[in-house]
Amino acid sequence: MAQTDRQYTAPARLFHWVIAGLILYQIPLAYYMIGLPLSPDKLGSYALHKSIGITIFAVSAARLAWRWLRPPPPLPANLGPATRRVGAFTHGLLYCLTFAMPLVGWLSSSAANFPVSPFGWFTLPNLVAPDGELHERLELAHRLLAYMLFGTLSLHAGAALYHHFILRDGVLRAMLPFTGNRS
Amino acid sequence: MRVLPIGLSFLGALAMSAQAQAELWTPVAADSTLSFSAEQQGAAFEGLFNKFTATFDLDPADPTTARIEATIDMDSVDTLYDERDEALREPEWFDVERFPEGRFVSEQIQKAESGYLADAFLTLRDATQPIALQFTLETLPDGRLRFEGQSVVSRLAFGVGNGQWENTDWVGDAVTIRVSLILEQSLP
Ligand code: HEM
Repeated sequence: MAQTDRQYTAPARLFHWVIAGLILYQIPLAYYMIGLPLSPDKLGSYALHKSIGITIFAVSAARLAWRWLRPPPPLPANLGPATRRVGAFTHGLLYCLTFAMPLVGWLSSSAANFPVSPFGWFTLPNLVAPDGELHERLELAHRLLAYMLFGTLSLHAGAALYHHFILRDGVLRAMLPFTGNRS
Repeated sequence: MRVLPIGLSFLGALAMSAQAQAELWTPVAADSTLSFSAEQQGAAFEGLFNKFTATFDLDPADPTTARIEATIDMDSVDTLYDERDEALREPEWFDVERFPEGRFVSEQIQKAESGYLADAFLTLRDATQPIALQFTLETLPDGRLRFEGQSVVSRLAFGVGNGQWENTDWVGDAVTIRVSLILEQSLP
């Protein structure tokens, strides 16, 4: 029983891995697309990048709502307060970035008069009036946020592996899919 | 009485000018826009041509007799994003170096359900195609005219977006042209 209490709920694990998968697809796609010469392929890749980004935003919102309804399981008792604080900070930052990156991308597209249409389903309103200078600053912000994301993701994945292989405390297993009743 | 024939011919002249009389009207640049709406990546975006000229040989009482001609400075395209404007000036799109001007010439105008319908020829690049421009005309209290027109054209019919850009997955074929003008009478 104690083991299942340490487990994230199934929806929480699903949210986590869907977002992880989308981000791990999104980043190489971003570098692929910016390297393409201007072509229908480039426009298509940008469109996909924007659609996936907006999806990440939406799934993150659902994920936060679920987290509020079903708080995460407690951490192992032997973790010190400093470790907990670093963990909470990293997680907070990751949440912020999964919202900030798409939001800045959307703002940047708006400033370039490129309305965003997720998967062609509907068109999002432009958030700001077209403005070339603002667009360049937002593009830079999007890039800096990406670097922050790389740093934070590395820390996050490194910590998960550290918990699993060094501390062997089940923290990673709590988030893995298909780990229902195993110890 | 010698006054009578003079008076009569004066009345005659008045009557003639009250009849269908084409006058020359031109857009007031500050209050007139030529814009378009096109589709990229599944979403519509707006653009403008900042420079264009037009002449309307027009009797406001009967617009079906009008003749409309316009010239568009293709280099003045403005989609509010410099990189896209630069791309549009390239040979794959407007090719402004070889084809600096677009032309619009009305052929025939008829009354439509609401407003009028002008059959016209539009020339972009080296392609001339028939298009239909729907418009309304309204006389303003200050005597000027408000002309609002719209036409949906196929960019591919003009070779705008050729080669790889004949692909319409990410840049749609249909482009809506919108003309919103304030016309004032000018001396012929
Ligand atoms: C979590 C979501 C997102 C992630 C992780 C992400 C990541 C990235 C990365 C790594 C780059 C390359 C950075 C660079 O320019 O050096 C990039 C570029 C870009 N992203 Fe995103 N992005 C996300 C969401 C979005 C959204 C929602 C939009 C637009 C609606 C967007 C629009 C763009 C654009 C237009 C570029 C190209 C900038 C350029 O041409 O320099 N991104 N993104």
